[in-house]
Amino acid sequence: MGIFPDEVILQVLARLPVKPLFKNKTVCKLWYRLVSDKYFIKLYNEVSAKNLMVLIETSGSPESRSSLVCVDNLRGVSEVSLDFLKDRVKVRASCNGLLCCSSIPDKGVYYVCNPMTRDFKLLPRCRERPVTRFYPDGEATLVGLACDVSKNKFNVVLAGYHRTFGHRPDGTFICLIFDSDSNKWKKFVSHRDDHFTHMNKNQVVFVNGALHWLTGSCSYILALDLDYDVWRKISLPDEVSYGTGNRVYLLDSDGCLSLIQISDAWMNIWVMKDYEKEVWYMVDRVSLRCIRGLVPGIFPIAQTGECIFLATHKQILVYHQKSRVWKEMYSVKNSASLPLWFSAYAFRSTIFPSD
Amino acid sequence: MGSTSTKIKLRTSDQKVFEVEKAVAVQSQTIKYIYENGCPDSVIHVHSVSGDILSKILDYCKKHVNSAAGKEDISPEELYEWDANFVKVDQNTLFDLILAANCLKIESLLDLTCQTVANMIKGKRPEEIRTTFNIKNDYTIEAEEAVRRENKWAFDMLGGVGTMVIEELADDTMSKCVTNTKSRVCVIAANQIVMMRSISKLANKKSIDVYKQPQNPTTPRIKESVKQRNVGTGFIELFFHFKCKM
Repeated sequence: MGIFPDEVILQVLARLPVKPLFKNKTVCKLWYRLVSDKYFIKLYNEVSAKNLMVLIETSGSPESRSSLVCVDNLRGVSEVSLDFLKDRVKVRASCNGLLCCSSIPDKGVYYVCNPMTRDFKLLPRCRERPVTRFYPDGEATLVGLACDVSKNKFNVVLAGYHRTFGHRPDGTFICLIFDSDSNKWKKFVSHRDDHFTHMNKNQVVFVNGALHWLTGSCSYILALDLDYDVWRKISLPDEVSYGTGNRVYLLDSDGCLSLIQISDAWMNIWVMKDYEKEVWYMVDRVSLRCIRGLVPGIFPIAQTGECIFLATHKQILVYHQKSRVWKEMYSVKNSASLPLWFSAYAFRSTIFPSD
Repeated sequence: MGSTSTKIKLRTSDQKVFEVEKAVAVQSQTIKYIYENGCPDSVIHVHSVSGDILSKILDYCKKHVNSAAGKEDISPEELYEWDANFVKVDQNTLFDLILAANCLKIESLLDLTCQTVANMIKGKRPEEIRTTFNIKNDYTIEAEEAVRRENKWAFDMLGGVGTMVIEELADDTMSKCVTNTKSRVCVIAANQIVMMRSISKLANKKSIDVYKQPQNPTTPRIKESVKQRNVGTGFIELFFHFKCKM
């Protein structure tokens, strides 16, 4: 009889990084079964939710082409490789430990993968016709990944404006949704006239069964309810909508929508604690005095109730809310590369399977 | 009614009695439940915990209650350090603490102790883990080999914090990695560990020129040059320059 009861073993295993966890499948048959057990996957994900990470696509040297830099609040910096996809890809969205990537050489080809367990799924093709210059719909404007841990499934959303060759977009917003349960795509069309900045497109948030994007005008959040396939708008707090000269970013804070508003000297953090009633609370107001010089080029990337990751051109910083301390987690020397904030995604290490 | 704080009496498996403040004792969900559903004056039996272990646990609970209530002036970092020292005990005591924390349902202590054990087994081989936890290996040799092959990537010594992988150790190879100051740096080339050095040995040295004696005549002799740069609190970037002599 082992020293520990099963529930203690589960708690210990839930705190291991993914590699040693998988290596330990050879310890005994019980441990092998545990790693794929639904309850354990849920427990592991709950424990890992407290450990925030940021994944960055670096455009550095050719040998690191398919690898990402992973900045982990507890364990530091490491490299995560996507070579198991056997394709050159670009990360488009991150949710609950899964990534949605699009193939660079093959437009219209998408993968959903777990970079930690090296599990992946090639999604079936969603276009009826291949992209050529006569059908320049091109890449989707919005790419969202909704990974629902409790229902053990995920959805991928590709949304974009329809544009016939030689014409401007006509307001027709085509939305393709992939469901991992049915393994199929479905399509619905609506009319919209929003536009999205680069950061708006990168920062999609999945909470309460819906995907959320901040719109370019910063006047509302566009939400796609995945149960009913409906688009709706969520308004921002008045102080944010009417504040001038502020930059606003949408993040996920412990499962709630969060807005971070950056002005010259302050960072205001709003969280929608009551999703039903759509009420925003300002949870913190942080002085940016100690990073004054970095403020114009700083972007928040990931957040929990305890800390916030931000990226500048060359650095990743973390702000700890309890101690009110700023720390630099990572920096690059090569200034020829793309800014770090350009392709940085909130991430956490889970063992959620992608198939 | 000017009461001083309520006290609760606890009796351990070895018949020791502890009298503790209610606020401290109810950190344990088990004790809280028994207290709220039983007779408030009676002694609560904690059968599965010995006096020594309960004493340590009560120290932990007291520290955390006082720091949360502001009775003790201690910063989050200092509390973190205190916790780290708290678990610096021998393995038997640590395991007893886990079992007690699980039984008494003290979530933060269970989290701390389980994380400590997880860190302890992180680098261990499966055989070592079986010994540590007294687990019987119920795999046949073929089955175990099959599982190992299925999860081959988990056994490869690639990646991870502070590990640098170089495909080919040719002359004049340069590479860098970022790691935290508490770990070791491990350089791997062609799936063999070429160098493993603890950061503390590298710290405070601007550069190190070392000729490594090859164990295998075909392994090149490597002159390593290491430069380091602080990239943030607790993290350093190590920039390696290898020159090989065959």
